[in-house]
Amino acid sequence: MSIAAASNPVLDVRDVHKAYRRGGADTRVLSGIDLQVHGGECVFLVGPSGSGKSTLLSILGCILTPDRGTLRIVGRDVGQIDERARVRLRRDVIGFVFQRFQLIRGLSVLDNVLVPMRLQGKPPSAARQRALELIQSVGLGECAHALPQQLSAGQCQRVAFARALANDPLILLADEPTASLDIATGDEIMQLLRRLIQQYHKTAIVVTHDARIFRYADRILRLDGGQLQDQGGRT
Amino acid sequence: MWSVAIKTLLADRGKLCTALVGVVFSIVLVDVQGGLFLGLIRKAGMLVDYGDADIWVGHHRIHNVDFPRDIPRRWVHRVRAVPGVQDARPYMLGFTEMTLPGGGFETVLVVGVDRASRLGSAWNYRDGTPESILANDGIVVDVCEGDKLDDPAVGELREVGRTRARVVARTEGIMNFLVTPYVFTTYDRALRFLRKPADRCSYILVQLAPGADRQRVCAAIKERLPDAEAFERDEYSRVSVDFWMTRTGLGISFGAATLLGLFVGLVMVAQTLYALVLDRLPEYGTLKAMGATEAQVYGLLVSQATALALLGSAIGLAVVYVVQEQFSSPKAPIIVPWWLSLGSCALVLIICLVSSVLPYLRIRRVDPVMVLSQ
Repeated sequence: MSIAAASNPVLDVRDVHKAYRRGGADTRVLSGIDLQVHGGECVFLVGPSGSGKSTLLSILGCILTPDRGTLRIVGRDVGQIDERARVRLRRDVIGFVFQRFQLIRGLSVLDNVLVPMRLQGKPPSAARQRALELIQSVGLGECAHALPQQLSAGQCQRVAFARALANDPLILLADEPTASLDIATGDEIMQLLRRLIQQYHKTAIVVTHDARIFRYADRILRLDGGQLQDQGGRT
Repeated sequence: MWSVAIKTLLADRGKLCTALVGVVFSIVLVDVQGGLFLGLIRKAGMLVDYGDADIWVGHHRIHNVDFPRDIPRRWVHRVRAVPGVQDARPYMLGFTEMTLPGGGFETVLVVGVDRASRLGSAWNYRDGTPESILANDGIVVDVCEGDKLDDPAVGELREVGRTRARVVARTEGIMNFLVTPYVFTTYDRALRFLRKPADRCSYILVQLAPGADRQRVCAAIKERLPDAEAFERDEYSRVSVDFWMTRTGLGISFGAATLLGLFVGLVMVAQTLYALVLDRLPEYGTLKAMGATEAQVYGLLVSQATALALLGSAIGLAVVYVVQEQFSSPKAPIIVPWWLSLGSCALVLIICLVSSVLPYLRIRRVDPVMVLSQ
């Protein structure tokens, strides 16, 4: 057992259930999910389309609430806090990386990275300094004032990583981060993710179905039929 | 988040322009309509405003400077005896006809002023001087009424009330609220033109002694002359304006047109903000996923609406200035005082803020889950 595994989990999911109502009937998506993720881990959630990966990621990101079960983030029971506190938790503890980057059009790279810090109310000068540092660390120091449409897909995903790290969150949630990228760029992005996790001491949950990047996972969890199976990993 | 709002707004130039057109349209419509209205309504009290009299004494229950009822001229002496009155002079106003060179005729409103003081006489002379009115048969007409009076030149002879009259001076911009041109002359001559007895006048114009209290003097005049009405200058100007406002529905028609303009502006701004929001739903979803509160999201829209209002108002006021410079004339004066400009900008700001509610209702329904399922 690693040192990380021995400590309290950053994410602690117990018996989580989720169903959607479709056509008058409940469709069960998650059935009794148990999951503990420790600090510094990089966990991949894999599985076929429609297996509930994004639903689980949404629950872990406090965007969706489970029908049953508990979710603790750094020891805090998310089910016991109100919506406002959940929004604050999401803003301060979680960083999102989306499949299609979801950068804001019309804002430069720097402005996009500044957005989470503006939401948090960080002083402008400190926010700017941190944003420039993050942009530098994802290798886009020369493009700080470029607009997203002037960047390649790989560069956009780098900006998305910098933005996700802006508020110094404990947890990074990445939804198919390489799905919109070619093989080489996807590889670069995953190397970057691993480096950032190590450099900034983050915990990451990556949803993917891209088997080529499985080697970057510490642990791979397969979601199928609403159940989670541990598939091991590189550790 | 203000800069985020502005930068995203500027990124959609087409929609920004559409919204700005709506705001500019509203500002121009409110200011120009309002300016035209003020210019028109100002004519209703023009004689009073420029008349140099501190107090206007007329028949009991008079309500419009252009429609007086005759009073005894001997009241002049009783008014002069009121403490605080420095001078009081008779003033005559009445309708008659002026014959035109081609055989036609035009109804005119004759204004007869006291020879010595020339209190309540014409102003803004283009040809001639204020003293010209003293010349034999002298009348003063306004060049802006030239089309009605067949462009009378200085020295030209006419008949006013079938009495010989000579144009001795011309003014520019003295036009009343009615369609009848003013013809200024002396009080005595006005009696002849109007075929009135010498013991009558329309008003007694009063100039106060320095330091005299207007209200007290008015009250004293009314006490001495129970059948008379005495108004301070500003009050009588307002009474004259109110006459047209309340009896013609002028305010309602101008107001309705202005409201329509504001409504069009509201629709255009709301529609544009809504379209901007629809285009950016995933981005709003992203913001929510990143922890933006409802207040912060609405703040973005409010910032954009405010920016639209400010930018549109600035452009709109510039357009209003150009319109005013190019098209304002004595016939159709466009008077845009500072409070009208400020009021229109405040109205447009309110409209823009109201317009931001509709797109916000749409954003409220945006679930951040959408960005994870894309």
